[in-house]
Amino acid sequence: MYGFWGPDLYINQVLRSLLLAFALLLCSRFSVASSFLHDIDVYEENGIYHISVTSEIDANADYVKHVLTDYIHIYRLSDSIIASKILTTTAKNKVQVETTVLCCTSLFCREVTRVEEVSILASGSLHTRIIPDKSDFRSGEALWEITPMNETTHLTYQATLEPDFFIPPLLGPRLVIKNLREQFSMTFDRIQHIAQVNEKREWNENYEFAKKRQCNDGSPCRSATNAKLP
Amino acid sequence: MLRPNIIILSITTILPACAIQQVSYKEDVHPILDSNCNSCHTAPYGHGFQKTGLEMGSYHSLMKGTFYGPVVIAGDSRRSILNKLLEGRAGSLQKILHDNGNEGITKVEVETIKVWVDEGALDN
Repeated sequence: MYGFWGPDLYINQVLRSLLLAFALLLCSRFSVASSFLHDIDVYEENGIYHISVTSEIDANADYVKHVLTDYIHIYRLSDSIIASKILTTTAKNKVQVETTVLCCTSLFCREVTRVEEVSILASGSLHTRIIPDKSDFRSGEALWEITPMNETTHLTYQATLEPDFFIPPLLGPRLVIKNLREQFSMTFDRIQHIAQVNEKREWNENYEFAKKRQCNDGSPCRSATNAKLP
Repeated sequence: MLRPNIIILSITTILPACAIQQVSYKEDVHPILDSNCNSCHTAPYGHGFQKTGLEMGSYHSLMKGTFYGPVVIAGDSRRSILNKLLEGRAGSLQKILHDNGNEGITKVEVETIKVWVDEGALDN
């Protein structure tokens, strides 16, 4: 039944493997450089999750900022944003955005609602603050810093999140950290992709073509598809 | 002794599963998209196509998605952008349809597309 090992040796081997896997899981602080462009650091301390992402986005800063402030299409930034809407525009440069995010780990899966007040600072950075009364979070803040670098953009994200829902002890926080890391990796990929598409198509801030293109015959076109203007 | 019982059990569990009819792309989904979406999401002149790159005239063009990425995640209607929009979970698609002279997609049609996506978004 146990091959050439005795039962004790077999159980020891299994236990050692499990302990090693568990130790590896606990020791990692999930600070990694993902496939090609993001440095993502996520950790948990006293029930508060700290997230830090640094990335070089291969697109112009104006287009990156446009993606981040395109609240209507915010669901494009992650598949896990299963619902989103703009609640109010409270003041100039301030808006409340509600998102429902599907937070799934191998242990649990739940829908998490977050209402944030987004402010555009004078520096051009974006500050978001979670409104606890309308959210499944006790508190939370984030700062998006968008720095132009010639034709590319240095984008950083610093945030804290304090969930107000049950997370299973021991492995729960580790799995949440893993989930957050994957989500932010996806989101930064999407930010770059959308910004690049819009830059290529020369969209302006109203999602219209910034420049009138010339069709092959010299007449104005509406798009890269060479469709003539009506 | 046990074998006939297993056969009977298999038949009774498999048959009802076979009887459940899957939502068909050709019979059920395509007509809904054709009557509600295709007037705008047709290449190359449709406004919806020009704006997003989404063409909805065929299964393959639908699955290809927009300039920004796929709109259907097979088997997962909650995460699929198509369903987010149709169900009013993101943006105001119904308003856009009304503005374009369309009566809007009915709840039954929305549910049909949801079931189709959850069943794997097959080209059936």
